[in-house]
Amino acid sequence: MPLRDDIKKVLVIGSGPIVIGQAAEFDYAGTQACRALKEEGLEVVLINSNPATIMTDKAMADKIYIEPLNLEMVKRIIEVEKPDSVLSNLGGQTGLTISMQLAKEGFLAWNNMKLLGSKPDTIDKAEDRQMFKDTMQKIGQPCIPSKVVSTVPDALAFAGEIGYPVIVRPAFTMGGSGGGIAENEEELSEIALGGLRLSPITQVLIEKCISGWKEIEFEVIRDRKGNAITVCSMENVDPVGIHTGDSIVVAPAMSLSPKEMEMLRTAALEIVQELDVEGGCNVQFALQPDSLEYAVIEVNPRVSRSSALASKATGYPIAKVATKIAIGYTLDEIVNKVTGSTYACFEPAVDYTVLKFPKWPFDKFVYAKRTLGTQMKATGEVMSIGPSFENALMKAVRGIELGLDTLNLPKLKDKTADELRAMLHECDDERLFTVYAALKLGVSVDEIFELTKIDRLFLHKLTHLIEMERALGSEPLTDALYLAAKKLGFLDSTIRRLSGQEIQHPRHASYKMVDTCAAEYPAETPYFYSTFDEENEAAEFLQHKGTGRKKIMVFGSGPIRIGQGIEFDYCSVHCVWALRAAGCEAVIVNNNPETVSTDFDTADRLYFDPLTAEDVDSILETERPDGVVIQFGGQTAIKLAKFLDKKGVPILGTGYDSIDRAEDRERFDELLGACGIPRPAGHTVFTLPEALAAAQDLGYPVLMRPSYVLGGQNMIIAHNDKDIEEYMAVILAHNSMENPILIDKYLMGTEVEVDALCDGHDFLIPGIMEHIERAGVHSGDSISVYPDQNLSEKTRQTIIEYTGKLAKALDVRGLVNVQYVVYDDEVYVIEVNPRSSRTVPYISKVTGVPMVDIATRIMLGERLTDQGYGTGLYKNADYIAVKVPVFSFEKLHDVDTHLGPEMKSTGEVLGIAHTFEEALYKGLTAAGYNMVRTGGVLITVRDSDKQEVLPIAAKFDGMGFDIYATSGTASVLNKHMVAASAVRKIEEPEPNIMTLFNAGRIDYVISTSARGRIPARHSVQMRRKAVERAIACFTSLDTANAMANSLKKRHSLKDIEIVNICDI
Amino acid sequence: MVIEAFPCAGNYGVSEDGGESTHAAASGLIAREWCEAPSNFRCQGDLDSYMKKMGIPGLCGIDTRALVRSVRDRGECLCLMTRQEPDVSAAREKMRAFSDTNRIKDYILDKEYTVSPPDARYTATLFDFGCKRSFLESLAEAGFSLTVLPYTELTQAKPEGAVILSGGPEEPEFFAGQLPAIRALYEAGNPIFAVGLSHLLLAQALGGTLRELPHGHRGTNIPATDGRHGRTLITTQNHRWYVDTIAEGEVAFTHAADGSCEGIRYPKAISLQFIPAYERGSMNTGDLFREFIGLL
Repeated sequence: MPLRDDIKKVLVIGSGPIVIGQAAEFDYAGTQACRALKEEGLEVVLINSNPATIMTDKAMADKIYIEPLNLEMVKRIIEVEKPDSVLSNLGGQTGLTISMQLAKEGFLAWNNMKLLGSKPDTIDKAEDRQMFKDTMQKIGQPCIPSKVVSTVPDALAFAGEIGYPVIVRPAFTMGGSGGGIAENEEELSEIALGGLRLSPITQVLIEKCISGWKEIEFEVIRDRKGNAITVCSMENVDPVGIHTGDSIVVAPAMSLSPKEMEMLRTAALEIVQELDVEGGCNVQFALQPDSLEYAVIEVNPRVSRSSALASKATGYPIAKVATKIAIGYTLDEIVNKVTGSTYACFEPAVDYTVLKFPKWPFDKFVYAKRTLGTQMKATGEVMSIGPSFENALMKAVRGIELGLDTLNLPKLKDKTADELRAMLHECDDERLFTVYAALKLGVSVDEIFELTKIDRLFLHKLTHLIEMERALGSEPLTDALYLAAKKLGFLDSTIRRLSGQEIQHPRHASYKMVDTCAAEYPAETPYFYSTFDEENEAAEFLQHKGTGRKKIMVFGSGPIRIGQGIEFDYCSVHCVWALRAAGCEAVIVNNNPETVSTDFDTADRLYFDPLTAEDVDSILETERPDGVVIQFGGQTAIKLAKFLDKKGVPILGTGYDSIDRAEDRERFDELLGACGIPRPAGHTVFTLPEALAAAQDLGYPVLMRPSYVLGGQNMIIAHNDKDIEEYMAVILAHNSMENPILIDKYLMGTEVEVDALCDGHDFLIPGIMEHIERAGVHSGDSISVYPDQNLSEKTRQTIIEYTGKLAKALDVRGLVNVQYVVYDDEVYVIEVNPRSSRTVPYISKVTGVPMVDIATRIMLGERLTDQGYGTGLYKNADYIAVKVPVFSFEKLHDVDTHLGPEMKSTGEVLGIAHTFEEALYKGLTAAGYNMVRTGGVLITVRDSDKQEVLPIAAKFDGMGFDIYATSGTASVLNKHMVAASAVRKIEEPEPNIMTLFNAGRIDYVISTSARGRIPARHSVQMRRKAVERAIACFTSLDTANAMANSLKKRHSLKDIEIVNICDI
Repeated sequence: MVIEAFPCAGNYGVSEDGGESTHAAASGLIAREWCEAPSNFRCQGDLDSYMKKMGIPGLCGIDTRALVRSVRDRGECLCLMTRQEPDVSAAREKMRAFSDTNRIKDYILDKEYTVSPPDARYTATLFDFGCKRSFLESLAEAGFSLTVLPYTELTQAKPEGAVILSGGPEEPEFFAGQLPAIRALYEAGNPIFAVGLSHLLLAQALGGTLRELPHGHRGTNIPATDGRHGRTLITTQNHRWYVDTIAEGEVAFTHAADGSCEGIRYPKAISLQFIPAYERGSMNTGDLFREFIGLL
C-alpha cells in the first residue's frame, strides 16, 4: 500500500536555531521531508524559528510559521491550521520532544491528529534511560552498567558500586549537554549537579566508563512491514570517550572483520525491530578492541547528524525515505532515484572511503577549554571522499580551513617526543596532529595506541603520509613518486614545498561517481569526488549528458563555524535554483555534509571536494564552466577570488578587484575618500609599538582587528595599553605578519546594517536594519530590527545615498552588505562586504524581495529595473522582524559570555509581528529566554555603566523584581532610589552571588566588565556560573533594557499574533 | 578472479577461523590497495602472506572501479593476469582452453564425517558440493546433527529423513550427472533444504531451466523479497546462474531489483539461491532454518 489516504495536511516541526549539537543537518533533513511530502501532493505546514534555513523558504511548504518553537505555539498553530498529522522524526531533538509532548498530553488525539514517524513508545524506549535498559535487556542486547539517578547522593552511591571513572549523561538533552566523565567523587558531584539541572526531567545516567572501546555506528531504516536495512556503518577514529560529533569518523567502518560487522549489524536491526521504529534510526555501539564483547551506547529513533553524514556518504537519502515511510510507503515501493532501477530496500555499497572531520570554534574562543569529552563542542564539520583513508584525511584536513595542507601543526613543530607523549594523555581538538607529530618523532604505533586507543589500522595509515613526506623531502621527484603522492592526497603546492623540486608532469584530478552501489548498476547521479585515476566519470557524464546550456559553477561555504553559518548555504542553494530557472546548468562545489547544497539533486552536478584553489582548479578543468559564482559562499568562496581572477575564469557578479578594494584598508580608504563618505579614523599597524602609538593618536577606546577577518575573529575593543598588549599577543599568535592589523577609533553609536543589490547602474535596498546593541557588539550577536525604528529621515536618506554610492563605486554586481554606525547624528561606514551576508535570508523572507534570485539574474546580465522590485529603498513590509542571536555557551567551558566585537553566537531566531514590542517578545522567547515576570535580577556593572543602568534597574524594580547588586553598583542604585540588596561577589565568602544562584533566586543577570575573556577573572566566572544554571545573562545594557521593555508589555504566548510568512 | 570493489583489502587481516573452506579457490585477487599492517585481535597474518601461502597471484594499484564498470557493462569474462606484455593470440588460446572444473573435487572432503552439536534436536544428511564452513556451523546452531557425505555419494546413499544439499562452485553442467539422484530424493519425499548451487540443481532436476545473469549477484547486500509477506531480506550472494522457469513448487524469493528467482518453496523442500545464516532473531535469514524444521 502506498500513500495513506487519511493524510492530506502534515505539520512539520523544524529544529530551531543552530546550536552546537543541532545544526544544519536538520535543515537538510527538513527540506528533504518537505519536498518528499509535496511530491505526494500533500499540504505542508511548517514551523521553525530559524529564518536562515532553506526549509522556511516559501517554495518548501504551503504555510510557514517562523515562530518560537515551543509547545504553546505549536498548539496554537495546530488550532489555526488543523493539520491531520504531525511528522515527528525529521526536526531533530527539538521536533521530537515537542511531538512527543503533544502526543502524551492527548492533544493530538483530541484534535484527531496522527503522529507520523517515531511513535511515543519508540521514543520512550530509546530516550528514557531505564526503559532503554529494560528494552535492551529483554532482547539480550548488552548495555553498559548504569543507573538512572535523580539526586547527587544517589549518583555518588552508584559510582561507588561500579567504580570510577564514570560517565554522566543527562536525559533528554541534545549534544550531550551537561554530561562528562568524572574521575572521583568531587568531580561527580559537580557534573551530576549540572546535568540534573539541564535535564528537563531531572534525570542523569551514571554509567561505567568504557573509554577506549571502538565506537561504531549504524544508520538503520525500517518500514511498517518490518523491512529493515543498514544504510551505512561508521567507525569513530577517536574511540569511546569523545562525543561522536567531536570525533573523526570514517565510513564504512574499516577495522572490523565481517564477523564483528555482522554481529553489530544484526544487533542494530534487532534493536530497531524491538523499538518498532518506522523511519531512520541511529544505533551506536562500543566494541572491545580485543574481544567480541560489545555494548549498545545509544539509539536515536530519528534523523540525525549521523544520518546526514550517512546519506552524503552513500548517496542514500535517509530523510526522504524516512518521510515516505512515515506517510505509508514501504522500502520496496520507494525507487532509488540514484540508479532509477533499484529500490530503497537495499544496502548501499561504497567503493571509496568517507571521512568526517569536525570544525571546532577554538580558533575564535582562544580561552575556551579545548578538551573533548562526552559533550559536543564542534559547530560544524567537513566530509571528504577519497579512494583511501589517507587521501580522504588529507582532503578533510585542508578542507576544514585551519590553514593546513598536511597534518603538521606549526605549534607542535618544536615539541619533543616526551612532550608529545604527555600531550597524548589529553583528548583535545588537535590530538590527531599531536599523534602525527609523535609518530614522526619515532614514537611507536603500539605506544600511541596504548595512550590514545586509536586503532593501529589508522595509526599505520598515518605513517604512510609521514613516509611520503620523507620521500618527497629526500628523493628525486619522479613521475611515479609524484603520482604516489597525489594518490595519498598531497597538493601540488605541498609536493613542491616538501621536495623543493619542480613537478615534471603535473596532473589534474579525475572524478568518480557516488552511486550507492559501487558501480554494480549504471547510475546517473551527478555526484562526484576527485581521485588520481585514468578514468574520469565526470567527463564521461558531461559528454553523454551535456545539455549545451550555459554552465555556471557555484562555490559553497564549507564547514559551519561561528561567523559563517547556514545562511550562506541558503544563499548558495538559492543561487543554484535561480541559475536553473534561468536555463543554466548549475554545478555546486562544497564539502559540508550537513547542508542542502550538498544534496545530490540540488544542482545539476555536485562536486564533493575541498574548496582550495588547487582542488577547484581540477574541477574547472573537467567542467570548463562559462562562469563561476563566489559571492554566496561566505569568506570560503571569496578566498578563491584571487586565484580565479588570475586563472582568467569569468567571475559572475562583483569581480576580484572590487572585493580587494573593500578588504584592503588603503584601497578602501581611497574609495571612501573618492565618495566623500566618512569612517571612524584609523591606522594600519604590524607591530606592538606601532599599535600603541596608533591608539595614543586616536585616543581610547579603540577597535582592533586583523585585516581579512571572518566574523570578527580576534576583534576586540581596547580601553588601555594593557588591552593592546594582551590582544596583540593573541592576534599575532593566530596570524602571520603578512596581514596588517587595523586599529580604529571606536564610536559607541547606533549600528545600522544594510543589504543591497546593485547591477552597476541602479541599486535596491530591500530593508534597513537597526541594531538594539550599540556598536561594539558584533553585528551577528546583536538583536537586529527590521525596519529601523529610531533613525531620523535625514539619517535614513544619508544611508541610502552612501549605500548607492558605495555599491556603484565598487561596481557591485549582485549583493553588498554595508555596516554603519550613527554617532552624534553623523553616519560613518564601518565595513563593506561585496557579497551575501548573514541577514540576506531573513530580509528576503520578511520583505518578500528574493535577494539571491535577483542577484543571480543581475550576474547573468539582467538589469535591476527589469525585475519588478524597483530601485532605491524598497517599501517597508507590514511586519516588524526582530532577529535574536542564539549562543551555545553551555557547551563551551571557560568562554566568557560577554559580548564584544568578536562574534560568539552560533545561530539565530526571528520574531515577526505588527508591533516592535511583540516582535521582540517573540524573538526573545524563540531564543530561549523564559521571560519570567517575577523573581530576582542581579546587577553588577563596570563604573562607566553605573549611571546608565539606573533606568533599567528602575524598570525591573517597578515590575516587582527583587534587585540584587554588588557593592559598588548597589550603592549607586540605592543612592538613586532604586532599592537593591547588596551581595558579595563570587570570590568573597558566602553567602554571596553563588548562594543566590544556587537558591534559584536570580532570573536575570546584568553584568558588564571593563575587561573580560580570561577565564580566571571573577566576572567571567560569575557569568559562566549563570550560564551553567541557565540564568539569562545580559552583558550589554541595551539588551537588558530591551528585555525590561518587553517584559513591561506583559505579552504572553497566548495573546501574540501568529504569522504565516507565505502571506507576506 | 575476484575484484574487490572496496578500495582497501585486508584491513583486518586473515584469521584461521574466518575461512569458509580448506583453502582459497579464487585464481587471483585484484584490489586497489592492500593493507600491510592489518589490525584485529583475531588477525593471524596479512593478506599478502595468506595469498602466497595459497599460491594465489594478486594485482593491486589499479583503478578497480574502472574494472568493475567494465565487467558490469560487458558481462563477466575470462581474464589473464600476467607480469609481461602478453602475446595476445597465445593468451587468447590459453583463456579459451581454461577450465577449472577439475579443481572442484579439491574442495570437497572425500569421506563421510559427522557434525554433532551437544544440544542437537534434529538429524539430517548433508551432501557436500563444496559447502561453506559457516553454513555447517549455522545448521549446528539451528539444532542439526549432521552426517556429511560427498556429493558423489548421492547415487549410492539412501538417506532417511531430512536432506540438506549444500552450496558449491557454480558449475551446474559439471554436476548434471547428479540430477536424477536429486530428483529421486525429492520423489522419495525426504524434506530437502537446498542452498546456492543445489537450489539450481534441484530446480533443474525437477524440470526447471537456468539462465545466466550478465554480471551475477555478488555481495553482502543483495535484497531478496519473500513473496509470502513481502518482506525483503538482505542476503549474501555470489552467483551468476539463476532459475529461469520452474516445473514444480512456487517462487518464494525474488531479487528486489531485477525480479529474478532467489528461492523456491516446494511442498516438502525449500531451496534458496543465497546461503542463509542461522540466528535466533528474525532480522536476517534465521527464519528459513526454522521454516525447514517445520517441514520435518
